[in-house]
Formats: sequence, structure tokens, C-alpha cells
Amino acid sequence: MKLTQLITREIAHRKLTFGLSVLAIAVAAVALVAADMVVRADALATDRILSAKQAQTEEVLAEKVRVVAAAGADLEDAMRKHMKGLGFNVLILPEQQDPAELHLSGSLSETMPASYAGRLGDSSIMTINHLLPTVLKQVKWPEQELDVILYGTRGEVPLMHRALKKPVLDAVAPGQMVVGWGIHQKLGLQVGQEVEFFGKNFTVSVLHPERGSTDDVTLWIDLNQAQEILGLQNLIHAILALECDCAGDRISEIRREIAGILPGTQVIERHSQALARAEARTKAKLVAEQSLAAEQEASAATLARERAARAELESQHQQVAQIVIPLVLLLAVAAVGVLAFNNVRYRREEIGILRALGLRTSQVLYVFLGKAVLSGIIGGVLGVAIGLLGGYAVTHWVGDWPADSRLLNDLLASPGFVFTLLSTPVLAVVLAAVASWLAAAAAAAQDAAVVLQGE
Amino acid sequence: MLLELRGIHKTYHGAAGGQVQALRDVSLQLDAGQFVAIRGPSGCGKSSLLMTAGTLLAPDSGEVLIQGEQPYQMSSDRRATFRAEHLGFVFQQFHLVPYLSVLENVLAARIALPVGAASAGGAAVSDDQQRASELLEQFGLGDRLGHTPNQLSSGERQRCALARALLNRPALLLADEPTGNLDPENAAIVLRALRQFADGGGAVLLVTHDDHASTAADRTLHMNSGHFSG
Repeated sequence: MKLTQLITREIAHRKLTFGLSVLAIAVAAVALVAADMVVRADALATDRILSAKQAQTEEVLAEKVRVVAAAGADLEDAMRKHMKGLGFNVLILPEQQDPAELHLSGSLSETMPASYAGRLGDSSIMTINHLLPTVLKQVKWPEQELDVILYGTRGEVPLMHRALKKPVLDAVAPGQMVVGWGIHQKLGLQVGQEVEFFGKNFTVSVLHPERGSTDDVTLWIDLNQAQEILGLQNLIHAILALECDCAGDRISEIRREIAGILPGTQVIERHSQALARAEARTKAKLVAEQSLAAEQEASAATLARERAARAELESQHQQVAQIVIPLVLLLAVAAVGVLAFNNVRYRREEIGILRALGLRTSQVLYVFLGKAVLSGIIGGVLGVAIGLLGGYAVTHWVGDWPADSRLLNDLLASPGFVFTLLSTPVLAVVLAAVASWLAAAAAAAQDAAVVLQGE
Repeated sequence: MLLELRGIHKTYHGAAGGQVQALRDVSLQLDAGQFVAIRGPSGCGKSSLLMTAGTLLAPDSGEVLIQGEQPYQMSSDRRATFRAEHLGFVFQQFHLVPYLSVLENVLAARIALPVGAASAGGAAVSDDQQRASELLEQFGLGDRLGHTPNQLSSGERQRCALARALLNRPALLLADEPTGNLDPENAAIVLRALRQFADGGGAVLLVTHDDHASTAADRTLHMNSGHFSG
């Protein structure tokens, strides 16, 4: 006969008492495991929810960034097309030239050296591009007795510090003539037709459609030939150019830059439909960018709110756990203690005879604490199992955790949670032993003589 | 000398401040092979004397010697082991452990002894089960080994308690009213067993108020108000 047999026989004899002890310990273990599980699941769920929202937000923002970028590219492309389609919008004239002459007659009289175009092309000017030196003069076509605007032009002067761009206006080859709509309608000209102009022969190379502007009464010929006809060798009336960027008020900057390169000139900005459209598009782009920034800000705020809400929820669960766990542990200790004292009271006679049979104090303690340890082991293991199931159920069906089986896997991969699972049965044993200690000590201190005589 | 009590005094102090002198200058000598009965009315101090001799109740003064040793000079644990090795108890209320079988109740006497230790009679622990069975057979309980105490009659319970007391082959058997709850037939069986134990070289100290019980003893001492009279 061994003490362990005494313990197991007694447990089998008083199953209800032992069962209640196991239950009390199991409840404490369940509370511990389930609370830890819920708190940890909170943290995991927060990570997942925030990551998902972050990814979703980033995806939406990336799409918006793409849209804005595309809008910007569209704008640039549209700008280029409009500017090219609707003409040069910067005019560089000699300082003495009255702009009113151009507006009234479509013609210019003051000149400047043709080399100015080359000087501008060799400079590092940034605010304009597509430089086109021209002569522009209202003349009477002597052979036809017809007033026309003679436009002498050549290929664009390349800007040396930039890559070559497709010219806005194609050069007119020597001996060729481009004819405005009003002129060729009036004279019945055809492409390829030979005409005489100031005693020189030209071939009609292009007939422009109606434009509703001075272009309709304009003839374009090679710059050198025009200079010769007008007696303006090595002189030009104007340099036409395109603003590089039409956004905002750039004319002051252009004037400042050109004044540094070509002194004695003036710069006129010709407001066109292209400029208005470009400005509208620029504004639209700006609005889109501002909208994107606002969206980014709003997304960040939403994430911050979500994070705060999750933190609040986690804090609430932690607070509940901080109250519930000690309370349940205390109740479990009290329950096990009361049951142990009751057990000692029922077993007074048995303790008396065991002491008479020579059981030492440590052996009496062993009998009672051994039983407590056993209840702790069974209750602890049961509690861990039930706590796992309970926590799993809570995290799946009660809270707003993501309902997927990965949660349990993730929890089981967490060293902290595994530690809780492993340490809970140990804690349960300690709990049961501590709760039963006083009762066991009372049993060991029992006076056998008193008990045996009393009986 | 197997048991010697010298000038034993024992006083109980009540909670209300009252005092009861249970033993007053009691002396007693008991040799191996002797069967001594102590008679007296209830409350005369018989049970206190038995408990004192059984190393369960320390006297206020006086000396207790068992086989030349003074158990009350020993530590509590050493005294408990000494008790398991040298003493056997039989009580009026049997004091069987309710959830153990008859055989296990008898074997419970071995729990206190260190593993591998031999009882005073020299039996090895490994022989315990056989010896317990033999004792129970001897007391007519051979067919009740697996029964629990509540399935036994009073006489059977006392015989089981007697077997438990004898398992470790004690030198001294202390019996407190062992026939008090028994019918004459079972009382006779118990008294006969005590006699046989004494005849076998053991010593028996029996306290009783039963006239018939004392007839089995070699000598009878009368106790009154905490001391021997006459």
C-alpha cells in the first residue's frame, strides 16, 4: 500500500468533491487561456485589418496617382498639339517696332539682325522654344495687282542645349510658295502651278484651307528670297517662338531672359485659345493633384481612426481580462480551499488513525497536497483545452475578428501564446496546491489523540 | 521491560479556563508476554493513559519508556515511525478507512514505514500482502478481502482492525474498549486474539469497563480519577 493509492482511492470514493475542485481549477485555466487568446487575437486582427485597409488605400491611391499622371501627360501632349496647331504665341520684335502696326495691318516695318535668331539658339534660354526668324510685310503682288502679306520663313533655329523637336511650322523651300485661302480662291491657283512674284518664279506647293485670319491673305516663301524681294538682306522683322510652359504668368520671366540675350528687343505674348485651354487644363491638373493630396490625407485619417478604434477595443478587452482573470483566480482559490477544508473535516477520523499508524506530518501533507496537485493537473489540462475551444469560438463567432482558420494557426505560432498554454497547467497545479495548503496544514496539525478519544 | 510509565501527569485545559486532571502520578510496568487490563468508569483517564503509552499524547510530566527508548524525547517524525514499528492499536470504533478494501485497510499499516523497511517482527515489505491475507484468513475474513468496511458487520470490522494492528508485528498492542461494540461471540474472538498475541511474546495493554474482557488479562488494574486504585 502506498500513499498514492490512498490518494487515488479517496478520489474515487469522493468523486463529486474532486470533480468540483477540478472544475474550479479548470474554470480558472479557461479564463486565463481564453482571455489571453482573445487579447492576442485582438492584436492579430488589428494587424490584419489595418494591413488590409492600408493595402486597399494604397491601391486606390496608386490608381489615382496613375490617373493624375496620365492626366498630366495628356495635358502636356495636348498642350504641345494645341500650341503647334494654333501657332506661335511669343513674338520678339525690335524695340522701336510699334505693335499697333502689326495689329492694324498684319505687317512690320522695323528690323533687327537675322543673327539674333542664331544668338538665341546658342543661348541656354529655357522659357521659350521653336525659334522662327521671319520677315513680315504687307506688299502689293505686282503681277496680280493684289495686296498680300508676304511671310518669309525658313526652318526653325535649333536650340543647341535641347534635343531637336518637330517644327511647329514647316520650312518653305526656295522657289516654292504656300498660299493662303483668300488668295488662291481669288486667283484660282492650283498646287504645282507656276506663278511669278516680284519678277521671280515660284511653284505653288501648298494651298491652305480657310482659317478666318490674316493667314487667308498671306503668302509664305523662303526667308532669303523674301529678304531679297523686300531689300532686307540679313535683316528680319521678328522671331516667333513658343512658350515652353504656359502655366501662370511667364511673360515677365521670358522678357527678363530675352533682354539678357537680345538687348534692344521687345517681347509680346499673343493670347490665344491654346493658352486659355492650356491654363484650364493646368488648373484641372492642379485640382486633380490637390484632390489626390486630399484623398491621401483622408486615407491616412481613416487609417488613424481605425487604428485608434482597434486600440480602444483592445484596451477594453484587456481591461475586462484584467478584472476577470484575478477575480476568477480568486474564486477558484476560494472554492478549492473550501472544498479542501471540507475534505479535511470529513476525514478527521481517517487522519487520526493514519497518525496512529505512524504517518508523519509530511506524509499527511502529501496525501492532501497530492490530491490538490492531481486536481490541478487535470483541471489545468482540461482548462487549456476548453479555453482553446472557447477562445476559438469567441474569436470566430462573437467578435469582429476575421473569420478564418489562420487565426488559430497564427496564435499557435506565437511563442507568448504557446507559453501561456504550457504554463497554465503548471499555474493550475500551483493554484490548487496554494488553495489546499492551509487545509493540508490543518490536517497535518490535527491531534490524533483528540480525534481518536473524541470518537 | 517493554513498557514503563513513571509518574505520569496529564491535565487538560478547557477553553473556559477549567482544568481536568486526566492522569495523576500514574506508573506502570509491562513486560513482553504480559496482558494487562485497566478498568474503570468512563472519564477516569483510561484512554488518556492508553494514548500516552501509545506515543500520541505527551504527558505534562513523567517518563514513558518503550523497549528502553523514550519516544517523547524523539522528534515528531521519528516518534511516528517508532509508533509504526513498535505499536499496534485497536479501538472501540474500529477506525477503518471507509474507501479502502478490507485487505487495503490492513495494508495501510505499512504506509508509514519507509520503503524496504522490515517490521519489528522481521517480515519484509514484499511479504506484506501475503501476511495481511493470512491474518485476515486467521480472523475469518479470507473471503472478504475486497469488501469495504461498510459491507462488514461490527465484529468483522473489529477483526479487520485487529489484523491491521498486528500486520507490522508490534511489540506492544494497545486496545481501547475493543469489545465495546461487539456481540459476545465476536468479543470472545477479539479477546482470544489479544491473548494469543501476548502468549506469542507481545505485550497487551487493554482499557475497558467490561468485566468479561478483563478476564482474559494476566492482571487487571483499576483506575479512578486519573490514578490506579487498589
